[in-house]
Amino acid sequence: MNLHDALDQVARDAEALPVPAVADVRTRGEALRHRAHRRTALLTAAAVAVASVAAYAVASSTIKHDIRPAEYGWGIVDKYDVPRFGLLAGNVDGALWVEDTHNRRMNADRTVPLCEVLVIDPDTGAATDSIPGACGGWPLVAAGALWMEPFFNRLVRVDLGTHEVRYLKPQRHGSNSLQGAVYADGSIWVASPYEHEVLRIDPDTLEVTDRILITAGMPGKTAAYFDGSVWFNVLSEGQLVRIDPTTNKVESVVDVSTDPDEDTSRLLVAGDRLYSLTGTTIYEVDASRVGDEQVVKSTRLRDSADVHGGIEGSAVGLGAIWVSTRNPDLVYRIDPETLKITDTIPLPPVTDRAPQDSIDVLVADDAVWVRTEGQLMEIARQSKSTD
Amino acid sequence: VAEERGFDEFYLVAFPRLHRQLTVMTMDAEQARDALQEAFARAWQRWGKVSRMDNPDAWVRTVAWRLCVSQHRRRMVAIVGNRKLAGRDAPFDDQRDQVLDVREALRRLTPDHRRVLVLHEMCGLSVVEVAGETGLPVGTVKSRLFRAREALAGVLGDGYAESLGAES
Repeated sequence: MNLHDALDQVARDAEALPVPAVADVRTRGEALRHRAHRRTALLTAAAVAVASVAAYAVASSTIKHDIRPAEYGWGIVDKYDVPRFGLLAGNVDGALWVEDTHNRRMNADRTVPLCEVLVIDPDTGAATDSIPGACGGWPLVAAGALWMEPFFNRLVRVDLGTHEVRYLKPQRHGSNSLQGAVYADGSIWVASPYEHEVLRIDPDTLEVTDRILITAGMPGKTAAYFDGSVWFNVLSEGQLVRIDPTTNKVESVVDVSTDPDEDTSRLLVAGDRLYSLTGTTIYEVDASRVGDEQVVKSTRLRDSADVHGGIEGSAVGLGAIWVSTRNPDLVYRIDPETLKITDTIPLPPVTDRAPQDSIDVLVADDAVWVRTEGQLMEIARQSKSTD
Repeated sequence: VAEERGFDEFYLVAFPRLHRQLTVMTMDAEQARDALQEAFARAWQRWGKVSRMDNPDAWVRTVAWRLCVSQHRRRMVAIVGNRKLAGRDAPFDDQRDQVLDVREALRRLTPDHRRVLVLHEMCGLSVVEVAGETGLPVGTVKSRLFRAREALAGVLGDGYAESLGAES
């Protein structure tokens, strides 16, 4: 038997099933259209409401706008060349913790990773300490530790005080990643996408205390704690899943993007607002009614996202949402109330970017930090003297 | 009405073809059918845009594939597939054992490897075209094709070599 015959034999399984009626398919398509129209109407209503509030504010002069003209806008005020740099991990007692992504390998017996976290003095850009054996994506600072979900299928806990590094490997089958840690209700919550589960973990003992099956799809990327609930992205579905930490049950599944090319990838919380980001767009989600959550606002930052570029980093702080994009390499400052872009900060061009390189954003103290290949940049509000 | 007619014609012609391809990619004809049904519904949702594409087949196939991957059925695929396999009557007589081996070999491939194999071998896409549809680098497509073929070579035996010989 040749290869084509073999594939053809397997494909014959399809012929045993009837083709669904085209009328049913169109009916489903119409329903999707109506849902999209309803969302557009909601967004329009929300925009009208914002415009009304703005008009009232101008008329009564009771709301102060904190957005200054462009010449006083935000820009890069400092830049350090720091080779070997990796992912921005967190802000700990005024120091920046960054992962060295350039040595993402295990030791010979595959028990300990060879990478490390560097502790950087933000005033000088110099590494003042290193923590061997710590690395991973989706960093989270919570419960006295830095939590990272690394490439070698373990959850990493780095004690902020002692720098002790511990590992947890909670999956059943071993070869799957962990993503999106969040701290809520005394536990660390992390997604195990290929198991379709969210794991609840005791932050001290690292024991898995509960596993929540996510039937909507694969949970992953980033997570958030908002309005008393734990939120995870559902990969490839443009959805969010909301979990009640008091019952460990899924409360609702929220449609964010109806575009099949759009994948929810990041969650942000700014005050009393929840935001979901895809590769192109930032959405605000009204989560005030469990089971009836709605997208109420959105801003599209770019036309498309693919392997060559898209939204990469995001952070909240200093009264704004900060979003970085690759190709073009930019940082956007976004008003969290209106989702309007208030500043666009171009980043210096990077040559020979490593495949694992991304543009990370972190807000720490009174500055925004951006990391690209080999460079750490501070973004701050510029005065005329620094222009 | 003209829009409906255009969609219906596209659906009736493309569905069986795409269903066969997705069946091999997923090793689950029912899952493939469900995903395709939803993908075609999404195509009708934005038919004004999809109908003007150079290759609407590729759009529907990509959407259906993503649905398959995301529909929390990875574990179920193996379980249900094995159950179906055990209960199925011998459909191909003397070639039955070999077909079972091929199924098992295909099932042991990751879905991503099967997808690349099907796009190249069943859909007739070039390596560059497969890279375009999957968003993978050309080198990755080539290595996945190599691994998929390597896995199947053992169970297909001489016929496999003949099929490759016929290609070149």
